[in-house]
Amino acid sequence: MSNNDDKEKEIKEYEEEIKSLMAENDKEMNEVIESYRKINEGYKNLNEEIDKTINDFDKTAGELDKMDQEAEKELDDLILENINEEVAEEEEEEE
Amino acid sequence: MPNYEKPKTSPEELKEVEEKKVISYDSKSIFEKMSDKAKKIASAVYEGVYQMPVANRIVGKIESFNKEKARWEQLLQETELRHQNIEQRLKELEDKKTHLEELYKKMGWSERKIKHVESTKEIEKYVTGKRKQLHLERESIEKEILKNQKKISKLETKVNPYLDKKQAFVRVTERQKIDYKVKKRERGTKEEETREEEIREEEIREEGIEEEEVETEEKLGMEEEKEKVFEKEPEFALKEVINKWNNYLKEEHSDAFKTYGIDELIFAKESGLKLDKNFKISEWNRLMKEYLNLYQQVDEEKINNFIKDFNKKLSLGMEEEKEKVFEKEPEFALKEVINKWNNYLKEEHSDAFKTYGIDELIFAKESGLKLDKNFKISEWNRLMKEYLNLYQQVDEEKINNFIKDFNKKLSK
Repeated sequence: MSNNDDKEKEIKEYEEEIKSLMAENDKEMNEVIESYRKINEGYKNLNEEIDKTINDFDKTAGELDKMDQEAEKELDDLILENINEEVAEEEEEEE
Repeated sequence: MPNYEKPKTSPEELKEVEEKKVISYDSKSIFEKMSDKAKKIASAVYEGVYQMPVANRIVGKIESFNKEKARWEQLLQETELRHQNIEQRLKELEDKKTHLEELYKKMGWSERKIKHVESTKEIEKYVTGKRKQLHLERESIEKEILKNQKKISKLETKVNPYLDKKQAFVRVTERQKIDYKVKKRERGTKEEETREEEIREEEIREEGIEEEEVETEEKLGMEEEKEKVFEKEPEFALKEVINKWNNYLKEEHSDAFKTYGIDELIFAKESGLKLDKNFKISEWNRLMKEYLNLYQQVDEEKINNFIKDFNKKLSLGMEEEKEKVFEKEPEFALKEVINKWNNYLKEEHSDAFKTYGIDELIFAKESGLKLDKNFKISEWNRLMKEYLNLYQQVDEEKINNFIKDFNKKLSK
C-alpha cells in the first residue's frame, strides 16, 4: 500500500508540474497569437490602402480621360468653326 | 492656316483633318481660342507629360507600401521563430503525457481507465487546441499575404510603364553626369583637372562604378569612324539628329525601325537633354547606343553597321547639298529665311503655298529655335523638310525641286 501511495504522490507531483508548465506556456502562446493577429490586421489595412490607391488611380485616370475628351471636343468644335470661317471667306472672295 | 490643303466641312471630311489635328494644338488662332482648362490639357498632352504627376504619386505610394510590407514581414519572421519554440514545448508536453500514462500503468491501471484520467485528457485538449489556434492564426495571415501580392502586382501593372521610364531616366542621367565630367576635365586648367579627377575617383569608389564601364569614344571605335567619314565632324540639334536617324531607318532598314527607332520626346525626357542642344555626330552615336541598350540587348555588330552607314549618308548628303548650289553657303536668321521661303512659294508656286508654307510662330515653337538665330541654308532646308514631314506625307520629289530652285534663286 505504501508503495502505491508513493507512486500516487509521484503522479500528483508530476501532474502539478505539467499544469504549471502549461500555465507558463500560455503567456508566451498568447503573445504569439496576439502578434499574429497584429500582423494580420496590418496586412488587412495595407491591402485596403492599396485598394483605395487602385480606385483613386482608376478614378483619376478616368477623370483625366474625360477632361481629355472634353478638350478634344472643344478643339473639334474650334477646328470646325475655323474651317467654316475659311469657307465663308473663300465664298465671299469668289462673290 | 497653311497646313490645310482645302476646307473641310462635313463630319466625314472632318475625319481627314483628324490626322493633322496635332498642329492645331499649337496653331495660334485655334489654340488661343481654347478655354484655359482645355489649353492646359492640350499642352500637357502635346508635351507627353499628361498623366505623369498621377503616376509619380503612385510610384511613391508603392515605395511606401513596400516599406510597410517589409515591416510586417520582419515581425512575421520573429513571430514564426517564437511559434517554433512553442511547438517544441507542445511536443515536450506530449512526451510528458506519455510518461504520465506510463506511471499510471505501473500502478496497474488499465489502458481504458488511463484514457479517462482527467489530467491526461486536459493535456491532450490543451496541446491540440493550442496547435489548432496557432495554425488558424498563421493561415489567415497567409491569405492576406496572397491578397497583398495580387494587389501590389495589379498596381504595378498599372504604373510599370512609368516605373520603367523613371528607372531608365535615372540610369541615363547618371551616365550623362559621368560623361559631362570627362569633357569638362579636358577643357579645364591643371588645378581643375586634378580636382575633377579626385571627385570622379571618389564617385567611382562610392558608387562602385568600374572604370571600364565609362566608355570613351576610342573604346567604342567612334574616333576611328569619325576620321574615316567626316573631314570636320558635323553637329546637329538633338531633335534633328533623331529625326535623321529615324528617317534613315525607315528608308534603309524599315524592318529594324521598331527596334532601333527613337521617340524624341521619350529620349529627351529620359536623358534630361534638351531637343535643341547640339551634339557632335559621334556623341549622338554613343548616346543613342546607350539609350537603346537600356531597353534591350542590342545586336552590337548590326547597330555599328547601321551607324557607319548612317554617318556616311549624312556626310554625303551634306556635301551634295552644299556643293551643288553655293560657292559659299549663305546664312540667314530663321525669321528671314521663313519669309523668303513663303514669298518664293507665293510667287512661284502659289497653289502649293497652303501645303508647304510655314507659319514662323508655329515653326519656332515646334522646333524650339529662336527666330533671330542664324542658319546655313542647307540646315534650313533640312529642318524645313523635317518640319513639313511631321504633319503630312510630303511629296519628296516636289519639295526637293522647290528647295533646289529656291536655293538657286537665293544664290543669285
